[in-house]
Amino acid sequence: MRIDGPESLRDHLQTAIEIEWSTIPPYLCALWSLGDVHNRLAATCLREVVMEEMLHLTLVANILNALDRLPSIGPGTVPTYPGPLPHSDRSFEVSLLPFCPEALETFRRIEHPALIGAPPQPEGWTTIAQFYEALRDAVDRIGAQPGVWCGDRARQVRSGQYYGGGGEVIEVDGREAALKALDVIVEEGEGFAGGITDGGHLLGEPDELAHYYRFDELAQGRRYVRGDVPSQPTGAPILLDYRAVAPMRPNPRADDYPPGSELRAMTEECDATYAQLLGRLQTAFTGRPDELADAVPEMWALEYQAVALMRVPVGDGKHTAGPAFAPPSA
Amino acid sequence: MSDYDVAVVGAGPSGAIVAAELGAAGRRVLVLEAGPAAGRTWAEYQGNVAHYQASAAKVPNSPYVATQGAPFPDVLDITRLEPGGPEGDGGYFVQEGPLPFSSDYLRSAGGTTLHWLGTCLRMLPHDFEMASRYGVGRDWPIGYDDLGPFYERAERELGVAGDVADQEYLGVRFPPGYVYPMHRIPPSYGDRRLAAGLDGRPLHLDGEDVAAVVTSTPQARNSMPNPAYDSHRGYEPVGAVGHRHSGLRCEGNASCIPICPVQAKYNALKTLRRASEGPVEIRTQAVVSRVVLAPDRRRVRALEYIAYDDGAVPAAPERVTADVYVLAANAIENAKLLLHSGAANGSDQVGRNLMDHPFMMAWALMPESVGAFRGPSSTAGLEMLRDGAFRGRRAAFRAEIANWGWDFAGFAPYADVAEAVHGRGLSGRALRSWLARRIPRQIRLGFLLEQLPSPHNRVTLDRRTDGLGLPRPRLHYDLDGYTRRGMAAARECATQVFDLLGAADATAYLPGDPGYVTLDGQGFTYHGSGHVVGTHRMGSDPETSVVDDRQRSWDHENLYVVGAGSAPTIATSNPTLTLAALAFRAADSVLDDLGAA
Amino acid sequence: MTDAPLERFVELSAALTGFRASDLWGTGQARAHLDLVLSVCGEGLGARLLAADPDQIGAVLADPDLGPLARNVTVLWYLGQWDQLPRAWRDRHGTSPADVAHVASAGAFRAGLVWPAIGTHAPSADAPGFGSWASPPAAAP
Repeated sequence: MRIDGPESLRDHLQTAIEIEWSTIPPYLCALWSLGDVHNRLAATCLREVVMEEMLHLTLVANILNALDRLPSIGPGTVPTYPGPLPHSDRSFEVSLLPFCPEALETFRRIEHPALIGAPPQPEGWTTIAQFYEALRDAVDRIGAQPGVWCGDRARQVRSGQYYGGGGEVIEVDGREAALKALDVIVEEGEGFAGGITDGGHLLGEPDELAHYYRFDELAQGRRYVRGDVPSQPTGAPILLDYRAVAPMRPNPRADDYPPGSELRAMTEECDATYAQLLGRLQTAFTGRPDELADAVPEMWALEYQAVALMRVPVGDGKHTAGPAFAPPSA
Repeated sequence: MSDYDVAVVGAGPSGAIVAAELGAAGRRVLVLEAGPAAGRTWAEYQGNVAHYQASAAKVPNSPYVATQGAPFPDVLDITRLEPGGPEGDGGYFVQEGPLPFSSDYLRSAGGTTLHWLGTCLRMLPHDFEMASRYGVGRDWPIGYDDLGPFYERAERELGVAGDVADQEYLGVRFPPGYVYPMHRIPPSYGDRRLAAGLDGRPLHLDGEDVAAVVTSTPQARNSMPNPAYDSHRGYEPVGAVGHRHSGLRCEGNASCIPICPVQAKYNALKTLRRASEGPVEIRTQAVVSRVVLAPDRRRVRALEYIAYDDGAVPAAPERVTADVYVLAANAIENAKLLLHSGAANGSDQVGRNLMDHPFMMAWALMPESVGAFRGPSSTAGLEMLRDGAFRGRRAAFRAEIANWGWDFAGFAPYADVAEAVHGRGLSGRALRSWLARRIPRQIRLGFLLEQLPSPHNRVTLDRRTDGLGLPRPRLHYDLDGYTRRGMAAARECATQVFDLLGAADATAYLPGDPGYVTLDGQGFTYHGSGHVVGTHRMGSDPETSVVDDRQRSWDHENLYVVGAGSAPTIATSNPTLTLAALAFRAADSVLDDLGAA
Repeated sequence: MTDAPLERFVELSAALTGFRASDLWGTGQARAHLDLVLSVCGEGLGARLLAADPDQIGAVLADPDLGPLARNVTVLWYLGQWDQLPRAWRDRHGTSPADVAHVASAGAFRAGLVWPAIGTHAPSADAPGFGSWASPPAAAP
């Protein structure tokens, strides 16, 4: 099965938007559950992955805008949890969990490098890598057709409007830039040329690991160092203090709590911030790229509300509340 | 053969810039820093943030722990000095009086930029011509236009966010097409409220009307890069040392002083990182104890320094040699080292002309919320009184408009909570509401007053010593009538500003304040600005100045003494941008000297 | 994990501070604050304090034994700092080594309620993002 024309390519890029976004809430739950003092290394790792996912989302939006399709992120295009990744083969479900081995296992599955011999697969894919390989192939072929890159340049998110890690935004004006953007997504996600790093390096700073290997580090409790081969990290041990992790109930929802209760209200306040953030991103990706800057305070607000929820006991003697990431109603 | 091409004393902004520039030119540089490397890793830096958060008194040096070998002054050490009473001996300084020198600094890699605010005003053209224009102070041996290209290099290094159109006042000029590296930091909501009440309204001072203008402040704080910068090559904001994705924009942590937790605010650790890309060695906890002169005294032959580990017996002094030596240890530390070494003092000016910006606050309660305690400490100021004919008789000043309510003035919001809970007995929603209605209405002005150079305001060496047996600085400090008349004008300015705003003045200067001074029966309280200036001034005459216009010692041809200590007058801009510009100029000169050697 | 004393402490603190109990839990400081209070006043007075009725907060504040404690608890939540109890209180109940003016912890400072009460965040923590200071402040309650 192949992506066979510009319209199909646009549809699949919209799917890419949905895939990228669907990874962010579970990563954020793990990150925010880690506590503010202990587990700093793990928190740094997760935060950088989230920032890179935000970059990937922005890059895909730029490609889609360059092909003159408005991205959609909001009602109907953001997921509920638990659930499979969009358009995947539904081989696993993604839940909102605190940082725990089960969550790490899911994250590794999300970011798993393409299996050798696995074909590019635009639908029913097993790994995101397969999906992106199909996308890349389609951009390569269909992007060569005259007139397809006809989107309004003013809709591009420009370098300077996106910041905070993950790398530079690429403005997409044609096939070459689109392929470059897809390469960044694939390399940061699953690794560069079969290695553990994403190819980026700055003097005096640690190598940047691809997402799969960042999660692999945490799952194996040991850092990768330069020269390591996949699945065999030989660096320093990573000490994880699970006692400091907030015991958030899995897949929390506002209607877990009775109407009128404080926890119901707090969870709904957090959902409202989430809806506001999605609305802002939708605006930014559909013609007002300057508004991306205004999304940053909303992301921070969401974090502070979610972290507070994760400290409130739900009364079952075990768990705390957490952010629901409820899809906004249309 | 010398050990290094250049030896630099001090890893603050001046030393870091000189080291980075010489290193980039391939020169072998050694930087000797008296203080610790604290903060050069991200974990250490975050440790400093936590130390600040847990400090009872959140003063500028609260995040930073002094080492045994490099003690530094702290504003908590400042006490009121009484005539005929004992000297102030509570901290690192020995305060002789009659007034306390009320500023601190940091001895650490990164220097005092670790806790600075980041204000990056250029000096005004007239500031360089005080003697010839107003008959007071000194002329600089260079003018505004000489420094212009170096200001541009400094604005790149420090990463200044500003709007050129806002800064073209009182003669300040830029080349056609020049823009700052980043767009200005958005003015606060409070700035806009004050501008709405003040802009264009007349203030009556010195018998004249001056139109008030609220002006955005250029600051070394990451903002949105300006794509037009550098002939449209643009500018990439510089992130945190040890965590380059952090601090790419100011996040509004509202703790610039004493520590920006993400390093969106420039600190000299960033320049040290750049320096490290060249053949530059940075040795911390290495206190230079003596500048060793050659027998003919025309050249410096070596530096003597003591390496120490806290808790251990300090090592015996070691010697290091270089072709050129650059002292960049802060104005008081440079003077101390030169006096202790008997060096560079043919003019008898070393240690003299010590200046600060006496910092006088005025505060009031606005009728409505201005959203106090949000954003950087200050994002705008009143700049129109930085120059004028009045400078013949009284000090000029600028006023920073504070975004953090009555913070330093009234210990807000801590004192407000104490008043509400302990004093008024409030609790519950009444408490919450009282605080919410009061604190966001607090506004504060901070006047930075000019001080004239005086031979009597000076650093000398005390017989009492620090942990390494080196003499502690002994300070004689006073405010003359020129500055006190400026304080009276500033107080009058504040009164009129608060009237225009309909704000209730709450300013109080108490006779028990350490910095309480009077003029004609009226009292004012000053604090320090942390702007330590003037102890090795530059000039065009070896008889009356310590260094020439390139900051090279008149007495020793291979010695440079750089930093705010070289400034002949303090004017009204905070000194860091200017000392950074001067450091670039000195670095060029050192390169010339080395090329000729 | 049900912890009756802790829950009572949070309910009482909600009445003292004017914040929701869930907001107080959300600071992550409830346990540490209670531990600090008990280390100063001891189990006996602590039990009296925790037995106080949150709906009768005026009576608690007027009580010569509990009032100073309740005011200190309020300041602890608002600023993350402990104020030394008044001399009269110490003369009556003795002096605890924990009863000295201090910041309870870096986390207690970051979680201080005065900041959200005035529409902002603790300096150096919970930054609201670039340019947020330019927008109008939240209206006072």
